[in-house]
Amino acid sequence: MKNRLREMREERGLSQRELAERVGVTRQTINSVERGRYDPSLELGFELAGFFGCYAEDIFLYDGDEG
Amino acid sequence: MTETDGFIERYSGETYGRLLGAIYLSAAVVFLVGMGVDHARAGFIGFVGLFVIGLIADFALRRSSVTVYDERYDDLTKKASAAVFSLYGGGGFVVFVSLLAAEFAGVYEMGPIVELFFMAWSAFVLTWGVFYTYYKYI
Repeated sequence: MKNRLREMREERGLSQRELAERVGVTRQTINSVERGRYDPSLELGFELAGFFGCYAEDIFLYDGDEG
Repeated sequence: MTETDGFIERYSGETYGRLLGAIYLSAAVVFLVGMGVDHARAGFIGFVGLFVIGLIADFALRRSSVTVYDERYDDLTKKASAAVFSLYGGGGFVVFVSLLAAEFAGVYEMGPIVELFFMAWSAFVLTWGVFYTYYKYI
């Protein structure tokens, strides 16, 4: 699943560590999500959406072709 | 926030994660080195000491606001557990079914050690089944 997390984080001038602390996960998790290596839970997805003040689908772009 | 929390929060969860990993790895290394240099008891004491230090640090971190373990950690743990089960469960199935078939065919006789492994493997798979059923219905 693709996402705009890095772009949205950088727009707000936040480091991965700062964003991780705000949403209660580790920096490695934010890094893995940004690199597309880890698809977050719905809970974290909504947590991130709440933090950025947008809908989850504004951050995460579902690609139906992916397994 | 307590004073203890303030002290713990000087460093990130990532740093603590690495520290805990180093402590547990050191415990294993001390144990193996102890056996290797014929000081198994000292190695065992070192192993227990380091492991307990790791557990205490782990406990303190879980009570603080520092995030060391999160959903990705849980996800990785589940994947590793599934891989281990597939390896031992699936691998054991192939091995033991082959051995049993060979025994029934009269070309092989299972010794006590192999029988012990067969029992351990059966218990392992059965335990998995019990937990699977528990999570499915409860």
